[in-house]
Amino acid sequence: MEHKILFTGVAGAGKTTAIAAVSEIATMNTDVRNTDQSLGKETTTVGLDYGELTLEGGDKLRLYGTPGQMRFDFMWHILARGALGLIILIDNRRPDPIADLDVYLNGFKQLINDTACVVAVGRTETHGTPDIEEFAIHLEAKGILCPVLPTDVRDTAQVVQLLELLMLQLEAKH
Amino acid sequence: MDMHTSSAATRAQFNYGVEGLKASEELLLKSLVRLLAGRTQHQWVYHPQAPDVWILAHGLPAPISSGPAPAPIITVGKTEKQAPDYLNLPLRPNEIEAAFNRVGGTILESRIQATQDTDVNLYPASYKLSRWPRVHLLGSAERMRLATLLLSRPLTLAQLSRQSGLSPIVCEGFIDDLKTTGLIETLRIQVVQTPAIKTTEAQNSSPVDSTAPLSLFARIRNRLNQRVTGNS
Repeated sequence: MEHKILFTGVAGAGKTTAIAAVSEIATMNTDVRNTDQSLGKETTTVGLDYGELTLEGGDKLRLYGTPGQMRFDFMWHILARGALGLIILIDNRRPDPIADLDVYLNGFKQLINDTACVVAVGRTETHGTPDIEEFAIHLEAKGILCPVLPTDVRDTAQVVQLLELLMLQLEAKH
Repeated sequence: MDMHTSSAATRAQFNYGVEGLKASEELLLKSLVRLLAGRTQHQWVYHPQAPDVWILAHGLPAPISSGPAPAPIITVGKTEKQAPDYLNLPLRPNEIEAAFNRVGGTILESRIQATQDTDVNLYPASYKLSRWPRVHLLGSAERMRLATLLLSRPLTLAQLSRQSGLSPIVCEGFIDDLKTTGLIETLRIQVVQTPAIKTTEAQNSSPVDSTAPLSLFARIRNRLNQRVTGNS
């Protein structure tokens, strides 16, 4: 059987890095040269990222990174079908990270309601505002109860922790 | 603050004993259990005088139990048998970790059940978080797991302990800390559990259900742990 988990977030939030941190295969993506100087990186993913893990018994866990740009939001709904859950990556360097969060809470509303999600906030060590408490209060106001934690997606253990917290929520709901 | 390491002091501790293995295999097993101490869901101490679980060479009869119930057994052998309570030689850390986690969870659950059996309170308190707590309350990976579970649905102390794999004392300490924040709601839900049902449940539950297949989520968790430990 095949199962999938989605990583979403703005361009530059670290979806490609997060998937590469845990995937057992070389991640596949559709990176192109970045022409948006505000992203501060040479390439960006315009399609999707893909990684996978083989589980005991032979099942595949497929890890998809959605395209970050809103103009690709039609792909979000396609990818969300049948997903186990969602990890939202936030880049705290951005002008309004809370507004970024809202984009994905709205874009994946059905998936979040049906399954579970975890919010991971990156670059908090250099950009402390908004803090985790503000994200938690905002999520509560939106009626969404999920973990929200500072994360460095370059660290495999921290990405694994995001996935473990997602699993815990799913187990508790089943 | 390191949120990604396990705190050994907060986990339930169990003893294990070893019988019938070659000296080199026994030494390797003990070394691997010590090396895995930071990763296993419970703490494991070699204590053959009072083991909670026996690690036995294939074909060896179960040791005579001095306690009220026989200790569960993990068998070690070379038959390539694929079973949760069977470790194939040569020993592999990820298989040891999975087997110890599984049997530890079962022991913990049976102890919680024993506590519940003596609990006459039919309205145990259930707890539910209204939102993710402040960072200063989440100083360990264990506390993040507890907070995540308490966000998901109302849980009694026993349920929280069972689902997290952490001792009831640790869970209670976290709930007490949360009570000071006003973020946790205490509910009273009637538990419909008659003595007759309890007896039937006790009769039907063996100390270790070694044949139960791992859930999808447990298999994903095991695979992720292997990625962190570098076993694949």
